[in-house]
Amino acid sequence: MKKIISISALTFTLINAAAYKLPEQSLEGLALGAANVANCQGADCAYYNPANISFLDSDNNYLEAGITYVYLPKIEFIGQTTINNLTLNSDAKSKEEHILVPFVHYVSKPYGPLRYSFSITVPGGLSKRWDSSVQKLSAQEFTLKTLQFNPSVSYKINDNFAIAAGVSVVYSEGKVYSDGSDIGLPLKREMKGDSIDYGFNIAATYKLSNGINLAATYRSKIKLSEEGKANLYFGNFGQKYDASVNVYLPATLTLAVSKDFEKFSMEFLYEKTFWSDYKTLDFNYDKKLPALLEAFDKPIPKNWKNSDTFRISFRYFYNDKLTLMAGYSYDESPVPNDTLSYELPDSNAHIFSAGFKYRQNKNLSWGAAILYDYKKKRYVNNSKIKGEFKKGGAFLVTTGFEYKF
Amino acid sequence: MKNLIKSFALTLIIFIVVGCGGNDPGELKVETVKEGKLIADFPANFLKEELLKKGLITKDSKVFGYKAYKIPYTTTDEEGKKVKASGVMVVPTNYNTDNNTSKAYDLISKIGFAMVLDCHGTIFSNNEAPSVEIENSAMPKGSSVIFSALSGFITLQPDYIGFGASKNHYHPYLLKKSSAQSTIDFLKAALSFAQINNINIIASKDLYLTGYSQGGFVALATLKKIEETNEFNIKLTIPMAGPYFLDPIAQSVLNSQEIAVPSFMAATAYAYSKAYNKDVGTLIQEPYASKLPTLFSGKYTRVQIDKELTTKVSGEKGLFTQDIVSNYEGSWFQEALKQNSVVNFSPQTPVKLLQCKGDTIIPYAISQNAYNVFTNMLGSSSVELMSPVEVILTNDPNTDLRYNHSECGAYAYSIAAKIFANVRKQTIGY
Repeated sequence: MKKIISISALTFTLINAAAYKLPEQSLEGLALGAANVANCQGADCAYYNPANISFLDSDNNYLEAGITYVYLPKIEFIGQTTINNLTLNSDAKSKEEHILVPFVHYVSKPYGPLRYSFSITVPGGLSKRWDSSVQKLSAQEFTLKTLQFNPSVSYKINDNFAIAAGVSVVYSEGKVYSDGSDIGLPLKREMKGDSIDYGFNIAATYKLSNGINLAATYRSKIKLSEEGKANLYFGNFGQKYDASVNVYLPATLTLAVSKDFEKFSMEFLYEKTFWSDYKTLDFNYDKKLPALLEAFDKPIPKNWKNSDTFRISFRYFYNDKLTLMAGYSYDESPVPNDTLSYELPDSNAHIFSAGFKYRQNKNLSWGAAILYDYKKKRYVNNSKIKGEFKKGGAFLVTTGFEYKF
Repeated sequence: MKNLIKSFALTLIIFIVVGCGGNDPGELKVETVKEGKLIADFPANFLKEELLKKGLITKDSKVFGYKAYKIPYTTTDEEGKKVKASGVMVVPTNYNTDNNTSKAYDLISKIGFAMVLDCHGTIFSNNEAPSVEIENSAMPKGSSVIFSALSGFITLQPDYIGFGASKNHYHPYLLKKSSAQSTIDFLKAALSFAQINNINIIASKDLYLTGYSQGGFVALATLKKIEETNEFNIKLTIPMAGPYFLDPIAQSVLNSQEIAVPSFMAATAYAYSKAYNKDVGTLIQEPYASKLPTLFSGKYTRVQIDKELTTKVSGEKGLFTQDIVSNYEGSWFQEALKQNSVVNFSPQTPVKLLQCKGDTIIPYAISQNAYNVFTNMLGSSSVELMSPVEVILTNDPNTDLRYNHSECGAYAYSIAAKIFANVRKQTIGY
């Protein structure tokens, strides 16, 4: 069992892009900064736009697999934190994170007008750890891991128009550790939970005759109902509780348009993420907590806002073997000033990406891509935190292959 | 199609394997003890802050950390049957103490802790039992704060039969045999627990005995039994505001029109009818008699129970049957109450009776009478009737200050703790 758990720990922690959602889920997806919906051209359509699988070469099955290395640099905070009416200087740096994220996509040959696909991805998550005395009270460790299995089926209505629908099965694990002992608050929480939850996705693509593709996709909200155990301590005494907390993978709507030129294509994408369902972070326990531990039971207001993301991507077909790719996104943070805290000190981001794909032979392609998520500095002034978060962001490097058979 | 099935199978395997992460953060990292359970470990600095906020101490006061253990043990009930019971041991600690307290702790722990055996007052809800109350809140509670956190004693508090581990048993309220036996059995279990878990009790095992209200009654019953066996080293007993003579109290109640707190007498009638195998309906009228098993099931507090009873003593809508009101003299009930008087021996170890003058539930005269019986009728020379609590607090014999039964408890406990600490200093040097 230990071995199995270690596999889990290696494979699917996450990240800090677009709050805790991760849209880059394939080699091309990362190289193009996830602007890969209207014009996706391989197995990763299973994730980005399953309607497009209807237009892939009908002689082949498609399989893509790869792995993304994620590096989350330290986030630096300079400022004060107010706890129990006491304001403390709390300059600190979070821990850096090194995470590996796998992905697998598969598209079948057509069966009449139908075609099947599935993807295994990590659609969201976060990992933030602080060693510093004040920050540890909020997020000594705050980790959400997810793994999604997403089969879809597409229906080709005619040569220009296809629709698709799929279901998502998401396994998730949450881990929340907090510790106030370094600032004289002898409160400590160790909580772990997991959950299997479900959602759906739909997609449509319309191909115009002049090389323009129009596409729309929608992924439903998935409520991750983490259930597990919590060890809560006051002083040197602790008790174990059954505990639960709900976290949301938000609903997402994307509208994309792409245009093919002779050796070149580009795509513009607008993405609306419906974060506003995330109103509170409310931990629940199987029995009433002692008065001194009630801080762990109070719902924490979040009141996140729906966010907009704008993406643009370019493909350059250098020759019949090599494709060069690049992308840029502007990603709005959903976290309002009032409720921003140490577990996810998010800010608006500029995201730059580039990569290549090389066709080794008629069946096998491989490539690599890199993405830099530049988080803007964020000055926060709310009832608990007053100061500036800077640095942070993320570097992602992906390598993967696609095999047609 | 074959490939498709293969791929799905592969995916499913990956999903199942990866999906086996834990949802439990692991074992609690708390002190483990043998034959008991840690139920609170509270830092001194936080406790001091709380007590300062309430104005109960000054900045210079020494406050120790507070560690509580729930100890299970076996005792014997009123009918002679074995019962699994529980109690609390509270130990002072050096956890987050200030410098002065830390030095005092070093000295105390080097010499060894003296013990206070504190018998709690009347409770009806199981949630009020010492071990349950501390376990549910993980916080210091009640008199153990005074004796352990502020005075450096180990505090021992039995839950009594009917509460804690024995919550499904009826509570033998004011029945001295099982009250004393369950307290002594707890004391033995606590000493064994301390030995097994290396808690440094002073070699002479100095024991101070106290209790308020019902606890005063239990303290005297326990003292009598301890003195019969000479098994423990009792240094001083301070019974406080106890119903030591039950017969005159019952007579006084039955001769009244109204009583302020009907639950006390109803509980006595209920417990005595159980212990003496009598129908409670011979003492308590309907509709109240048939409610008593529910009301005294451990789910309800005194306030909730009083609302379900009546303050009228007799008559058609009174609490008691006309038969017991008219024929109390010579009844089985009177005989049983007389048998359970705890002023029926001549204490050989020091006893100081302490009470508030403003007490209307257990009048001060009860302590005066107990003192007279102990000294004048039973020939004890070791019993002292202390000045009323109000007089000790104001140092004014003519003070108009009066505290009622419930207000008096905290003051009485504080005075008892000071007296115990003085005796301890004279005998073992700290």
